[in-house]
Amino acid sequence: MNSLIIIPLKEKLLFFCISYKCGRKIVYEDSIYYRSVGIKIGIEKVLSIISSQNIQLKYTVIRAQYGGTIFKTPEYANTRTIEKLKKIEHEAPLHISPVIECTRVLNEKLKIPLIIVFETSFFANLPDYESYYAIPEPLVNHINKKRFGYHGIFHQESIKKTICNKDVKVISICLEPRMEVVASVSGNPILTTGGATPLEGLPGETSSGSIDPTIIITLNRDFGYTPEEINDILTNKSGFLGITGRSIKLPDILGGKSIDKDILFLREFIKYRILMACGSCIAAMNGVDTIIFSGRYFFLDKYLERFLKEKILLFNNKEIRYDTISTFLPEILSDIGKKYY
Amino acid sequence: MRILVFNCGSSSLKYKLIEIPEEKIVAGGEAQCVGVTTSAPSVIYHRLNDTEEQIKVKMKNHASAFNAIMKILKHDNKLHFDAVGHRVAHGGKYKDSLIITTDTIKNLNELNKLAPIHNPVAIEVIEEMQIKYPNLPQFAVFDTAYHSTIPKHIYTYPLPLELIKETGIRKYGFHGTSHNFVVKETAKFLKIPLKEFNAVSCHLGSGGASLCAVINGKSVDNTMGFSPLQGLIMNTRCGDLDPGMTMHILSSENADTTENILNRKSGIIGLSDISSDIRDIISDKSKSISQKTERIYLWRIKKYLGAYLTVVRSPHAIIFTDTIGETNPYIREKLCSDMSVFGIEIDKNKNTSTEKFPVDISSETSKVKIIVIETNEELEIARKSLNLFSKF
Repeated sequence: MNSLIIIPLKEKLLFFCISYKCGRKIVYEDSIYYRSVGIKIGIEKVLSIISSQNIQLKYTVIRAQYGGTIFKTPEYANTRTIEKLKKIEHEAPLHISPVIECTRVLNEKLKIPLIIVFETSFFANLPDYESYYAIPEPLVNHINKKRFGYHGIFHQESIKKTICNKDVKVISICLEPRMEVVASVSGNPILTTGGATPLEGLPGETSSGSIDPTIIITLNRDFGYTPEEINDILTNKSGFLGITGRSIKLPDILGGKSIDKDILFLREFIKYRILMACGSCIAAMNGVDTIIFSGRYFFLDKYLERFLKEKILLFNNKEIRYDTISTFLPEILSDIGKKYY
Repeated sequence: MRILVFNCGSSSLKYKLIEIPEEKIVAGGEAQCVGVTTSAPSVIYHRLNDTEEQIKVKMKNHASAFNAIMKILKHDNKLHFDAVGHRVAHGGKYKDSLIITTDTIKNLNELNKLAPIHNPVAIEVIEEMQIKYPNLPQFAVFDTAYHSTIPKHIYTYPLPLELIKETGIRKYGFHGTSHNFVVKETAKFLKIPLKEFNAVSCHLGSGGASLCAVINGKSVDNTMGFSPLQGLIMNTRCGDLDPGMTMHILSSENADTTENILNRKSGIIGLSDISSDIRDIISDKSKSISQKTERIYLWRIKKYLGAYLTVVRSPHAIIFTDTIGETNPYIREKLCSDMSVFGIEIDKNKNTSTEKFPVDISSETSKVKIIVIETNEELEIARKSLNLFSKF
């Protein structure tokens, strides 16, 4: 059995073919830039490549970054799904529009089940005290923005594993270019470092994470930057890149033995913020049973485990269990799709 | 000797005449409705011994409020003073208090952009003092100075280097004078040397609020940031907000309107649309919006409390201070309950029967003390002014 996994990003489509012939594995992966040609041609190119590889597909999964409060679970994609997506398209146009287009084209071209899995579904029932910001209610309704997380798929997979061990209070740390930390009690998230947009939270490889709102106002009013320019700065030119002027990935910071002064600085910088996030989670749950790592940089788990063991001091709390999910996102998506198939 | 301390609000001017080093309050008061048009007249409440006098006087700006106060003090020859200390919200690069000269006034004016509501009024009083009493020593004590010990990896925002150089953006932290005072007093109260004292200080006012992580007596982090907007949910300030949401508001409103919304129409009043005072919200449990506002307000503090307790690692104390922190046992109990994993246990009886400060409201088995203490920024300013006076 083979599945096609499509992850639409702002300018390209990542696609993976997963085979279950001898266990689950990625048998093909590639990416296609669709900005200049459009998603339809992008998808057609993807299907043409797969066809040339003689891969017979049984089902397809699309990863959608945003599903609002409407999409609380994965969904078989049909015309009704497209209508629902269109209703919330204005909330996250950069994320939803490519998904709508992919869905339409795939349903047209492939007559196999298509499942959409949303990163935000896991957070759809986040408690109000966590999901609301302290801004006037009419503004909230106008924007329709509450807090979500943006790595719900990893977190949900991680927490599934801990529930097997009957762990109740879990801190899930997703180690991606934009990291995210979640507190979950009995499988339900109650705290996330993520926000209404993927910009909030821990700083990433190119993203600023949370900053004082006055900074944005000051950049606009006193230094003449437009909102679009500020968005570009905060999304693509900040984070580790911003601080050092160099492209630096998380494994360079936490995994290496470098004594480069920028790396040493970033190491203290990011460790402090991860520690703060864990402290918030512990307060939210009054304790922690397990800290579990996931994401493409899951292999940084041992380094962070040592750091957190050294720093976290708790009372009346049993010894914290540390665990890791070493599965890549396309594989998790494929497994989710398989259940629906 | 005596230090006259001025503490400017956006439409008020508080003052205290303090005998130092005895730390005795000789007189004090507050000018209200300064520079604003309200139905209530501008008035100075002047307190001497146990009496309070109300003096109605037009005060179109802080300079005229200053002159009105000085007239009251000069009227009584027992109310003499030797120097003046000023609370200045933003000290920018200044890591310590400073002696005011013509040059320092020029430098202080350059900081107005960083604190456009608070700094200009304080400088207005300083300049008026300089004109009318040029031979009287004046000192500026900055809210940001206590946080000058925040390490670089904590005060740095992850923005492009060139942008940081162009703009000077970094975390400054605020309420430093208050945090500094209560940390020192709590260490004394608990008989722990200041340079060994670790704590999380919670300055919870009816207006602004911030937490401060303290290691070895020094500030290592503060929930406020580049401006007093960041961090906790406050009376009219939103605190932390997704940058994407700020930009979304900015794309349809101009910068001034956006700033006005986030600083003056958000926070508790933004959530509840009932009141900007959390005490009003807590006392009215009948409305679901009040309950929701209370939950959101407390949750934000709790998350930061957990974060700082973890960072400090083995705190001796949590400190509660300022209007809400000192007078609201309900909020203290809510914040300290379900925190046993940090070694925190509140004694509910002690919490509700606080009469004399400082007081320890932790249970006997609590590993971390919970101290309630009155802040006294004016006294701290007087102390720092005395230190500088010897160098004058």
